[in-house]
Amino acid sequence: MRKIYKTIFLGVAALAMTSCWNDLDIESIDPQSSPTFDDMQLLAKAYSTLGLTGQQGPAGKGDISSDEGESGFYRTTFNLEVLPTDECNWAWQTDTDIPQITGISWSSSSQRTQWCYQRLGFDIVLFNTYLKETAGQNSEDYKHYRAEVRFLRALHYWYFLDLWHKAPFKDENDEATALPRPKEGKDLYNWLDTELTAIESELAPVGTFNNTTNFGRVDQGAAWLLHARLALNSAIYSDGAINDLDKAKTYATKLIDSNKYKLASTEKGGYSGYAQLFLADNDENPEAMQEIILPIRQDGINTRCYSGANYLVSSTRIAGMPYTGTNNCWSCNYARPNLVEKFFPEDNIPMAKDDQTAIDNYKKQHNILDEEGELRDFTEEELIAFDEHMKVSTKDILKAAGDDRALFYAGYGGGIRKLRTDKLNNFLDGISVVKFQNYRSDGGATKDPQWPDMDIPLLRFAEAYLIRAEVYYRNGDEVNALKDINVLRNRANAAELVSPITDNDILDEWCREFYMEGRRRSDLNRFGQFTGKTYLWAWKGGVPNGQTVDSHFQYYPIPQDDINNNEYMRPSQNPGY
Amino acid sequence: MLKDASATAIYGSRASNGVIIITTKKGKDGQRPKVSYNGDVTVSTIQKKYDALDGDAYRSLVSSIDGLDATALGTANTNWQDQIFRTAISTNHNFSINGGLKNMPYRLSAGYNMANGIVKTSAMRRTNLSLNLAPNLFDKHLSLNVTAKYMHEFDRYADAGGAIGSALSIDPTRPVYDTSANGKYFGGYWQPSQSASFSDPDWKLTNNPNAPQNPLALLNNQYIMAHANDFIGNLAIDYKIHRLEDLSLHVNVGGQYTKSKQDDHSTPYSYGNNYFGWNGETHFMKWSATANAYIQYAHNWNNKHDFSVMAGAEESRYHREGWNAGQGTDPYTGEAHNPSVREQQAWATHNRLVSYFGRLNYTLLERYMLTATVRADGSSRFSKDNRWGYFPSVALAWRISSEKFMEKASWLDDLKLRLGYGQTGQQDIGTDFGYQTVYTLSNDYAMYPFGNTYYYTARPSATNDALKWESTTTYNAGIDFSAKNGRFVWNIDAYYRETKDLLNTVVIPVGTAPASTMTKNIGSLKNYGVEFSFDVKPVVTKNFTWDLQYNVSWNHNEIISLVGGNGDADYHVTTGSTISRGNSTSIMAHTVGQPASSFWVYQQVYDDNGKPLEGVYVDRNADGQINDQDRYYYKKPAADVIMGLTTKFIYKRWDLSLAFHASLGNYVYYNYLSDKGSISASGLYSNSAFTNTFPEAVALGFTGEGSEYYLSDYFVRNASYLKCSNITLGYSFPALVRNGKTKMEGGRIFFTAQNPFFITKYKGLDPEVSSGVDKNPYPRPMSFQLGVNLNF
Repeated sequence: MRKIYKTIFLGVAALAMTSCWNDLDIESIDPQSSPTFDDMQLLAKAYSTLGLTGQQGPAGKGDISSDEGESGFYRTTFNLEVLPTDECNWAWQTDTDIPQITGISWSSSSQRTQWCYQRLGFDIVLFNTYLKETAGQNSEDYKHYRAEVRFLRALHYWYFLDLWHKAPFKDENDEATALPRPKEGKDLYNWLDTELTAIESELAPVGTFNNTTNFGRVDQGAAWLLHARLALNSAIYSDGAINDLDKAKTYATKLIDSNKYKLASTEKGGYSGYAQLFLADNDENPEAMQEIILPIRQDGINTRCYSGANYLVSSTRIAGMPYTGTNNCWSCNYARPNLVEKFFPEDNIPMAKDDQTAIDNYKKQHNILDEEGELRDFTEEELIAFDEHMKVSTKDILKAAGDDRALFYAGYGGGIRKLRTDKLNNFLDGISVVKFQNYRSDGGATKDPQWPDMDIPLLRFAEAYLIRAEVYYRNGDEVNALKDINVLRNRANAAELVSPITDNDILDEWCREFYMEGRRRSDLNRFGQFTGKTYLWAWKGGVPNGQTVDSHFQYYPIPQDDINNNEYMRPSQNPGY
Repeated sequence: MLKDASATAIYGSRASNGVIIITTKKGKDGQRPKVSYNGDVTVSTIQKKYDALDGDAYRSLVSSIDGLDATALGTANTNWQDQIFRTAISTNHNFSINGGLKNMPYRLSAGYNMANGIVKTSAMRRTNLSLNLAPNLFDKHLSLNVTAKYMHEFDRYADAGGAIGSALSIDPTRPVYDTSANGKYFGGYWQPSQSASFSDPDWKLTNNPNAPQNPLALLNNQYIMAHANDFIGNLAIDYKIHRLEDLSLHVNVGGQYTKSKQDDHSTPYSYGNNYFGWNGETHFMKWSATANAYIQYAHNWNNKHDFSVMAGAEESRYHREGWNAGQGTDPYTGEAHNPSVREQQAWATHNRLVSYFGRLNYTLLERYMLTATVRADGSSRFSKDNRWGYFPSVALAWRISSEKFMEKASWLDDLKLRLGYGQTGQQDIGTDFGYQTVYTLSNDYAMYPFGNTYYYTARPSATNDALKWESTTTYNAGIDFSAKNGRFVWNIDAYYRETKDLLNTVVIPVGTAPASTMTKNIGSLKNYGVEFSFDVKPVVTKNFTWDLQYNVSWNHNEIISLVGGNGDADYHVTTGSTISRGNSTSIMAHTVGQPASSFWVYQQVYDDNGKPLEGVYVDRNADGQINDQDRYYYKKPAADVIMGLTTKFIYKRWDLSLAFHASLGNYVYYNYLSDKGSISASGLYSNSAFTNTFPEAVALGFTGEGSEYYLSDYFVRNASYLKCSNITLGYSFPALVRNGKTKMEGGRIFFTAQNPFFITKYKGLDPEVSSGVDKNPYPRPMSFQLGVNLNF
């Protein structure tokens, strides 16, 4: 017996000690991930970098490790292109970096700059990965997919060129883990010029995807428009070496003459053509879709993030406003007085007045009382009626401006607003912008009470007209410039502009047509007015009436972390940082 | 407690920071069964509440601020913290029987614990059973030790962090309950509200999602009930080979299994899930198994040479998985709202460790001792090239008290000098497959459409092939002294530890991976220090004994090198918990030459009266700008010196003991003050709701307008403290009752006060904050316990 036990134990011990080192070769068992992927899912991920922030909506498995809600493509580029300009203000001045962005006084430790730099760089890694993985594919479909991803990558490098004047550059032929090297100014401009020209013939013909089957994909029209935009800025991007204004005109004309896109003009459901571009059904309403060349798709159920349409709708609303379109109002973004002055040069926008007696009398007259007979707050319907009674509703503003694009709110909902302020206290320090509305033109219900269905029109046809108008103007041809400007003004039911026109007329028209659409700083820089003392708008330089800022602020700094981590970017820091 | 590298080396990688060995009670051979009962009742209450303004003080504050309308406030005076805390009663019972049948000692115990938390609605009930058998067979050649433990626990979890956070932020001028018609949308509680547009046209109001909520409603409208089952088993076999008794085999097999299910339910009147409510469940399962075996040879030659050598192997496997699912429901249409689906929420992971080890022990003349150990550890978390780490260690000891020249010192029990050197490894990197490329699919809420077709997206993971073991090398020397039969014992230890290939998550160069940060081996750090302890019984008489134990340790910590930065002296890696203000703002960083996780802050400028000027900082590099280059490293969360003191007095049958612990040189970021520090129109009123603050913030007078005031060293406070952990008074009584032949063997009754008081200069709630950022609001309770122990 003892012998048997002895043998058994010796055997067990021996087994226990023999090779278990191979037991360390195990694989992931996570049901949410897999070692393989489907090409369409990787393509969807490439596009989704525009309108999502991670693998869980609205947040949860973020792409970038900082605050996920702030890390999306649209919000980070919006932060850098719009927040420091004359268009809007972010009310929460204690948020990271906001005082510096508001007043154009940032340094190389600027977090918001880093978030945008990281997001653009992350997206380019995904695009290069897609191009590497699909390198052998030659079918017609793959030709288009690959060209579309190359366009998305060119779009990102355009943002690098516009914001930093240089990019940490890599393409799909570089090693995945190799350090990017800087490409700047003229070199980056030339690369973009060549790349866009190359993919134009590989993309689906202009207008192919402007329908409900493939809305959201990139076609030739998008490449032409981006190419026109790039060429328009050729002088500033190449530090004066290149003048491609005629190329800009050529591409804009190509787009206009293709007749594949039209401006949204016909009124529907009480919404003007212009307003329909920014409604919840701008991916179903043909009137809106015909003008949108490349949308960032969003959906109340399936495509949720804090950095896209939800940001535009929620940040511009405060609880108590009518027509919020969401139940989550962040009260963050409001208009600086200079934006309002583009429509109301005499500061005579119809605004609610701080007159408690008038409000109380109206409430008594209309029986707006609670069960104890005390005055109570307005319901939404009552507020809308009151705004109309006092002639301060958005409809009144549009009428007074004589321009469909003056989509503001200054009524009684949410509190009494000021037009301008000498202290940045809260959301009511300026007029609210209601351009982005999560309502349908057909009056139907949206999909979710919190998350908007509205898509973001990233590239739209109207830009072609303004690009061409500016080229005409810069070449001295005012007649043709005015023709193109007035096409847009007629669409907006605004009075036509007449000769003579100045730099500011062009610049102001860019603002009126495209405010809060993520491009203002780019236009101001092109006219040399973003820095310096030519144009002093409210809170420029951190003071209520604006002051000059140094010219080095025309470009953002390379983030300090990248200077530390990437030896090639180290000598390329922008001047002044 | 094992601290030196040699002692811990045998336990492998998870012993990198020391080992605590818990030996559970066992029976004794041939012992008659002994039954004992332990029970106690505990009353817990909150030790210290936060400071917050009451309704009247808040109304007068708001009136004094330009731009705020005090008439919009309520008329009540609500102390919100009083609404959510309670005095909680808990009780604990435990029976155990231990004894020994011939050759088989056994112990069986059963216990029941019912505990209530000091935050309302939180409760726990737990039952546990454990069995231990330690038979030995074959004339003590084969001894087995079998342990099995089972636990069942029921919890009702309360969102204490959310409730306390709301209680401190919510407007104190509002009532707890809303008896008007508006209250019906919130179950009768007052909530900040806005108009609603749901399918049900009669549901007119919903919560204002960006305003602080009613904390009592939060606790009462939420039901999170969890049931968990846990089983641990272990079998240890020791076999001395017959006729070769110097050779023995040891095999140990153990496992653990846990399964839990949690029901999550929020009513439609809740703030977080208003109108739709929420019904969901969360499941979790984990198991682990460890097997090790070693063979040992030991022999003693005339007590002159004592030699043993052993070699063995060990493998551990760990598996964790879970899933959750749930949805809200539209009460009017019956449709699901934001459903969360099991397939998309399920997760699972596993990892394994394999080790080979060997140890040699040699004692010469019973006083010169040598131990040498070598280990090879492999972890499945690293790629093949980096999988294995090699960790040797050696220790020497000299029992001076056994020397001939110490023979005369009969008062000396033991005097020993120890020296040690060892290496241990660490592989806790937070992910199990960081080196493999996997593609993560998106869920139903993160799809991207082309036209009307929605696609899931796939994202490649960021991999770090080069990730490897973090290893720590320790050198230590110590002296153990014991005299007068253990009446006077002291130990002193000095150590130097260097950790290489420190694991941390850092920002990576943009464009090199599909991620912005990655876990990497980032550098090295050193710790050195001295520990001293003594255990003295100054008075030992027939009726009275006084026992005093004291320990003190001093540690110095410093980062030696960091990868990256290219030799730039300013290079740092941000780390640690984020603070409330800003956006995921870090306040600590690692940098070369400073302690790990030092606070990285601006230097505050003060006015002539010593009051800090908001947002005004010293331009330390005199370059005319205030930016990151002007931040400096100021203090750290880890203490320089920690101490413990326990003293016990025994007089006849009475005993009184007190235990204290103290920490010196630990600093904490006063997050509560910086979070509530915006005393201005925008700081107190936002998103159509007022938020509360407290007197110290009002006195500070920062406005939060246009400044990053929260990055100042003003908020980094000295949180050194002296805490009394407990005071216990007990009475041991003799056998009081005879029942025939059965004699109750006496017992003890005792009364304990836990956390009765502490002394500190820190103004926050509790200075014992190991993370360095005082953000976790849960306060430590103070409790009073009455207990009894009976033995039969």
